Amino acid sequence: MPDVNGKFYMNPAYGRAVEGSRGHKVALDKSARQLSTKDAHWVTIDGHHVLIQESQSDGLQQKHHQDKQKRPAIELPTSNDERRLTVIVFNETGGLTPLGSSEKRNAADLHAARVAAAEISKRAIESGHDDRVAPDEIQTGLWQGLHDKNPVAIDAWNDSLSAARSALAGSNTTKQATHFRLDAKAGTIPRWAQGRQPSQTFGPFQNAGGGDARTPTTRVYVYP
Amino acid sequence: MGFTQKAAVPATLSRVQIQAVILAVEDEVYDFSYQKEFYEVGREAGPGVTRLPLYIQPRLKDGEGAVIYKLMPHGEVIRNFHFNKDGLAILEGAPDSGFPPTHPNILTLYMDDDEVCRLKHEWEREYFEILDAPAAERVSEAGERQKKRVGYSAREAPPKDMRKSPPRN
Repeated sequence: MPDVNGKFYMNPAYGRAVEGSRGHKVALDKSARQLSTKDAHWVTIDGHHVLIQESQSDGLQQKHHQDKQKRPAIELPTSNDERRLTVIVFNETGGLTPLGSSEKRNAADLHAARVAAAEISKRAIESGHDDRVAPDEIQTGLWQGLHDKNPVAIDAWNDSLSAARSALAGSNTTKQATHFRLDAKAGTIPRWAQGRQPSQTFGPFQNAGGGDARTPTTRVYVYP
Repeated sequence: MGFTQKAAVPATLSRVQIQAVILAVEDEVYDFSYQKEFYEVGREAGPGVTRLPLYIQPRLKDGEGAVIYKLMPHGEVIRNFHFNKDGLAILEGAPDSGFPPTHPNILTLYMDDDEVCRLKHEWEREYFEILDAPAAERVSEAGERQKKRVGYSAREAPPKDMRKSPPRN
C-alpha cells in the first residue's frame, strides 16, 4: 500500500493529490532543499529516503533507523476468534482514518465505529450470516499496507484488534443491532437499508482508499 | 441563481473514457486470475472468448461514474469509478472484499430489482471480453496497469491462506 507523506493510500495518485493540496509537498520540497548541504544528504535505502549526516561523531547518522523504531508494531491476535473478527473489522474499516482538526476526538469515534462493526459482525457470524460481512482473509491492498509497515495501516489493524477484543468480551454499544454499512452513493444503497433510520452514525472519517472509495469522507451507519 | 452562476453539468463520458473503464474491468479480471470463472457465463464471441455486457452511467458526477457488470466468481456488481491523471479508470471496491452489503460497492443482488433494471435500461450498454487463456504478456500488462491504478498487483500478493493473519513484524 503506498505511503504518501506518512499516510496510507490505496491509490497513490489520489494520495499524492490529497497530500499535495495540504501543502505537505511544498514543505517537503523545501526541507529536502535545506538538507542538501555539505553536512547532510538524502539517499534511498530499500525504498526509504534516509538522511545521512556526516558531521556526527561516528560520521553517519541514519534517521531511517530512528523512524523505524518509532513505527508501531503489528499486534497479533491470541485466538482464532480474535484473528477472524479482527480481519473482518480491518477489511471493513481499514481504509478509514480520522479527519479534520479534532483528530483525537475523531479517532475515538472511529474506534467506536470499529467496536460497532465488530459487535455486529460477531452477531452475523453467530447467526450463520458471515457471508454478509467482509471475508476473513486480509484484502490484498490492506495486507500490502501492513507488509510495507505503513504506520497508518498498522494503527488501523491494531485498533481493529482492540475493537474485536471488546466485542468478544461482550460489549454491547450497539444495543443488539444487527446491521451496519459504510456510506454509499445514491443508487448503491442496499435494499435492506432503504427507508430505514440508523440507530447510530459514526464519522465522517477520511476514506483514503482509492481502491475502495474516492469519496473523501465516509460515515458508518448502524441499524437495529 | 445569478447569471454568473452556472449549474454544474455532469460531463458525458467520452469514447476514450468508456474504453478505459472496459480495460480496467478486463485488467482486474486477469490480475486476480478470475478468467476461468467466466467460462460459460456469457456469449462465446470466439474460441475461448467470453463476451459480456456492462452498463455505464453515461455522465460523470464530480468526476465519478458507475458501472454494472458480472464480475465472476462474485456475481453482478455495481461499482463506482474515476480516472487518474494518466486517464486510467480506477474501479472502486476491492474484488477480494466479495462486495458485501456493508460496503459502498456491492453485489446488485442486494439492490432493489426494479432499480437495477432501470439503471441497466438508462445507462449505456457496452461489452467487455475475457480470454479464457490470456497470453502471459497480456496478464503482465494488466498487473502493471493495476499498480498504477491502485498501488498493487494481486498477482504479486500472497495467496488467501497466507493472508489469514497479518505479516510478522
